[in-house]
Amino acid sequence: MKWAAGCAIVVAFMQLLSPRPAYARDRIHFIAADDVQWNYAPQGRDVISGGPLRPLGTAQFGWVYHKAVFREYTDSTFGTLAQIAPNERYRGFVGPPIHAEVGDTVIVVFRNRTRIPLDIAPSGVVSIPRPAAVTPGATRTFRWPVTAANGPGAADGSSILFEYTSDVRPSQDATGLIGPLIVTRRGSARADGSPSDVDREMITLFSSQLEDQNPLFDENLHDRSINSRGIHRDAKSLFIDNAFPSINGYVYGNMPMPTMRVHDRVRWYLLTTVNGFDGHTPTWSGQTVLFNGNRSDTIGLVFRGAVVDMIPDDPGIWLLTCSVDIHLAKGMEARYAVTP
Amino acid sequence: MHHWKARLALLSAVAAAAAVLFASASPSAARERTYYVAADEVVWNYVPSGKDLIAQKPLPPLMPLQLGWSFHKAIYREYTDATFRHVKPRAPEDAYLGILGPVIHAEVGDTVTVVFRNNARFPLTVHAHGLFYTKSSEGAPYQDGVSAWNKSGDSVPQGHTFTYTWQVPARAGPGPGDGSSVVWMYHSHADEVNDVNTGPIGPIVVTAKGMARADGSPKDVDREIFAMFAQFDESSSRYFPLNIRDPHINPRHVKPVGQFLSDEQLWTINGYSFGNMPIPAMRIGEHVRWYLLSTMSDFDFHAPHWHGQTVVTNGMRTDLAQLGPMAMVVADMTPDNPGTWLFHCHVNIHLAGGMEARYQVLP
Repeated sequence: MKWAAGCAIVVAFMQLLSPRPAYARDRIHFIAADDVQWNYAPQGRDVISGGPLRPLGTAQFGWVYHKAVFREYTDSTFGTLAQIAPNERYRGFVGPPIHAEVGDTVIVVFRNRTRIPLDIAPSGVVSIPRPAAVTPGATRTFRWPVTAANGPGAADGSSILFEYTSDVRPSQDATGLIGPLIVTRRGSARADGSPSDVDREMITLFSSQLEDQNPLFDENLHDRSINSRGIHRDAKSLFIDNAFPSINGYVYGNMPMPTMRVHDRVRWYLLTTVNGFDGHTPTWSGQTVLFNGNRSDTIGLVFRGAVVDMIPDDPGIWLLTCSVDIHLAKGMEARYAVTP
Repeated sequence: MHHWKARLALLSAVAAAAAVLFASASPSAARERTYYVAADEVVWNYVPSGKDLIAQKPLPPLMPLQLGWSFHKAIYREYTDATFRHVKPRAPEDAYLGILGPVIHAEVGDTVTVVFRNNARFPLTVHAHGLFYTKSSEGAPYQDGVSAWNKSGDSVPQGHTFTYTWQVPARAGPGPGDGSSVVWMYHSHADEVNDVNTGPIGPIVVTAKGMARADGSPKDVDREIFAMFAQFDESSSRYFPLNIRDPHINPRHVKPVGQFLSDEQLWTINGYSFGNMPIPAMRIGEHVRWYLLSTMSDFDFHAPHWHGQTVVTNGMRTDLAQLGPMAMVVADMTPDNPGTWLFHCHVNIHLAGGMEARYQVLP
């Protein structure tokens, strides 16, 4: 474990010492899987309607659950969380954005600080070594070389979206462990890997979070501060009452409201998860987007993500919701603001 | 936070100024298009012939908890003027539009004004997708930092009239991958989940600048056809309590039980099931543009399939489109095969529920 972390530091030093072409950076991220207490409605009210939250479902534990999530740290000691700017806090429990320009190599130093085996597995790119369960407390380093085959295709914009997840128990780990991997075309990236023709990148996860599938379900069940109502595991409506169709892990407008400016070139990366209660349609009021050259304001996410571009022209506070009625009825709605 | 509020106070003024700029920047060809639209209460029959016209046989028996085939609904209807005395008659060739509100056409650069009269017993609104509106013309109530005086369009009570104004900038029109026109929806958004199941919904077509006829329709298209694939959930209609009480709607006096009333799901195209949609006709060689829409239910994943011809959508040839909830999809067809053809959803349970219609190609 120490060896792996040390190795990463050596790699970082070598990168500093050797002159390298701009298009072939090593991008190091120190990412831990942490056990956090996640609150789907931290403001304690329905921020969209201005009223109280709906009453708890019969078998609903509450609004707060233990979740394993990806979080970024400043270095291999995993002592200090990387700072998240105020206008990025809307990202909620979604893992840190990992950027790479074609030609780069992403190096992920991954520490599992939970009590269950987990890994970090990218889609779209190869991981060396292959993702494998990392035992609780252990640290491993993975290299993700990003080649042209992983970059934007002819019809894509300057950047495309992959994801990284834990896939030890694929259907369960998505109850928290997911983040975006953004690959930018060679020559189209800023120093930080983000596309240079985009002013603001927005990361959203449209997901029905099924807490009865959470790998930490037993922990939640037995923790009296989470399950204060003493719900039994055989409760009849356990599944539906602990399902949270949510945006970045927030319901009823509790997502911190991101802001953007009129005429910004905004790129929305839309992540989703894959369970039988997923199948979402992000819908913006106030602006339109371009998806694959088509004008729209509603994007169907059926078990795969999407990238859309927006140039806001209408200032105000606007809705970003899922248009599926039963998801909307359970609070799958957020707001975003456009300033003049 | 203070800084924010100060900014927000300016928003309406800035947006209004933006609207003026749009108007003044447009060449003289830009039009103002005014529509008089009311939400009217009707008894809507999903199968007016009382038969399965596809199979030429009786309808399937009612489900155990199904009230029937007719329901109180509110739908958008077009009127001739601001007096709202005369419903604008729908041409016979447009009868297939069924439950859809009037087709609103605009060319990029135009301004659309909808004078809305709510004749229904619930507060309703008109909320447009895609077009540019200021907060006062959004028609959707939520905590958006806008003061109450500017929100009267967010909930129009029975008997009241409200005028919505929408601009049509380039970003409301076709993108680089679209044809000469795109489709949007307008619908009531006073109570978003339940309003759409209640009925008020209609199409908007925006044509690229320079590509429109005087009426706003695209010059390079001979026939526009609209088809809305909707799973209407009558248990989520705002008239559901009334429908249960009304012996004309519920002659068997069915009592609702359970949280999910799966027997009240109607599988429809333009509000018709089992081939009851009037048959739209087109001619061989015409450029026919199909605008496909869907509604908001979790089962609104549809696979519209045309027998007899193919279409091109997004530059790809197919005879089967894909719709998710709130989809707005354009498909172009040049019919070459005369006859009366099936047009239906290919999802098996939807088809079994009657989500099927016919269209006719004349030689």
